[in-house]
This record gives sequence, structure tokens and C-alpha cells, in this order.
Amino acid sequence: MKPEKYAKKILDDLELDNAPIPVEEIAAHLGAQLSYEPFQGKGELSGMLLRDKDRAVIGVNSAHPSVRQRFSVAHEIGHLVMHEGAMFVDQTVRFNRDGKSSLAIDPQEIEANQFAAELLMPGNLVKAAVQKRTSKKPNIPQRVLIADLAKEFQVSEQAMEFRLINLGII
Amino acid sequence: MPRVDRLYTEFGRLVREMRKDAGLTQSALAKRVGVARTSITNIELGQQHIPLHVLYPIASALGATPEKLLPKSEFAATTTAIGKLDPQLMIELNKQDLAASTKRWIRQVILKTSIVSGANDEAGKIRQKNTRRSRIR
Repeated sequence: MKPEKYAKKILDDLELDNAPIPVEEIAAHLGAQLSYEPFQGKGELSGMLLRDKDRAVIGVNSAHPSVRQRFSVAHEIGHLVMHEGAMFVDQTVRFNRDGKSSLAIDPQEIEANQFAAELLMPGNLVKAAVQKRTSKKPNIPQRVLIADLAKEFQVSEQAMEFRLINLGII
Repeated sequence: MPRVDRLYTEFGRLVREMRKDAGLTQSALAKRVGVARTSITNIELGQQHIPLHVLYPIASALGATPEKLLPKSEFAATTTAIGKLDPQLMIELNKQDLAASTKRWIRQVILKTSIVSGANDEAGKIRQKNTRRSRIR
């Protein structure tokens, strides 16, 4: 099953069809406990998932902007529902012993990002939101559109831009 | 400190004791085993969790059998409380190839949720710095 399908199923099960998507509620629904903690070390750390057969904890770097934290929670939920493993630590740049960055290469990271994008910015909701805006203002500048949608879905503008590109909208 | 650290602290103590008995310096032992001297230092401090296959060359370099270096099972005692995360996770954490600051953050997250057995009563000790490196994935 594709990451997008996992995300869609959760949204359907919880009957979530409004932006912004309440990621914290989704985590709670899935039985994951959220824990916010600022990270002060070197490098970038967005979040982690820790679990055993009974419990799951999602750690979020609370030093990040709130939109980024929402993405981190969604990303960890992706690991929770799609991947096996007791521990996932997500760092923007993480180097394995072979010197390769695991972020860009690790298929599980890519899947978790795809999942997070669909969960926070469901394709149908984004398309509807774009339509609403462009029908009102056919000449809306792209940058304004991205900023508006980012605000509506409570994601970073960067994430929204990437999503719009992937959906073939811009 | 996490329970697993007691095991490695005791292992390190045994290595140091036997090394001294053998009249070896850390450098000399390191040379025989084929590792850096700092590795021996960390092992003796209980700060490096060695893989099983490294036990054998260390024992052999000390002129001892591997069994002699194994801590008694009481040092490996862990407790699992119902509804709490498996302490195995803490062991997994120590094995990960992560920066010390990252490990500290993870411990902090775990402490906040107080779901690992012994996490609260051990909180003060957990803050000890963690200098382990070379982990196997």
C-alpha cells in the first residue's frame, strides 16, 4: 500500500475533511503519546518515534516553528503506521557510517514524508482550496496562493509549494 | 543511570582489574586487541558497549577466558513494569549511532513521558554524559 493510501485511510476513518488537519488528535487516536522538547544540539533534529508492543511515544523538537512541528508529528505517525521498528530518529542531516545521508536515500524516510504531505495536505482538500481561490481571483499571484494555502493548512510555505508541484497544480 | 550501564561499568571494571593484574598499560592492551587506546579507556569506564565478538580478543589479550570477563547476571537486571516501555528500548538507544546531544534529547523526551521503568528515580543519574561512539546498526 502506498503512503498516500495510509494517510487517506486515517483521514477517512476519522472523518477529517477540513483544514487544518488536527495531527495531535490523530496521534492520540492511534495511541501515541506526544512529548515536546527543545533540541539544542548540533544539527537538525525534527522528531522521533519510540515504541514497543503496547505503547508509542512521538518526540517533537519544540524549538522548531509550529508548522514544522506539525510536519514532524505527521512524519512520525507515518513511521508508526507503515514501518516496523522500535525507534526512529529523524534528523535533517544524518550520516551513516558509510558516509551517505540517510535522509535522501532511506526509502522509509521518503515514505514517511509522502505520508505526512498527504495527511497534512490531502490532495482533494488542496485542490478544492486552490479552486476556490482561483475562481474568486483568476490572476492570483503564485506566491500569494502558496502563502494563503500554507496558512489555511498550517504548514510551511515550502511544504505547500512542494505539495502543489507534486499535485501538478503549479 | 540506565540499568544497562551497570553491566558495562562492571565489565569495564573487570577489564581494568585483569589488565592491571597482567601488568599491561591501556596502550599495550589496545595494541594487542587492535583498537585505539581511547577505546580501552571508554570500555574500562563502561562507556563503550562492545559487541560480543570483541570480547574474545580482549580476553585473549589479557590471557584470560571470555567467561572471566562476564559480569554476574545481577548486573544485567532490568525490570519491566506493565504499561511502560520495554527497557530494551533504552538499550537500543545506547546502541544507535547518534550524537551525544541527540541521545540526551531522546532521554529527556522519555523522562517527560515517564514511561520507561526506573526513568524517574534514575533521572538525576541519567544526565551523565554519554561519550559512546562506534555503534552497530
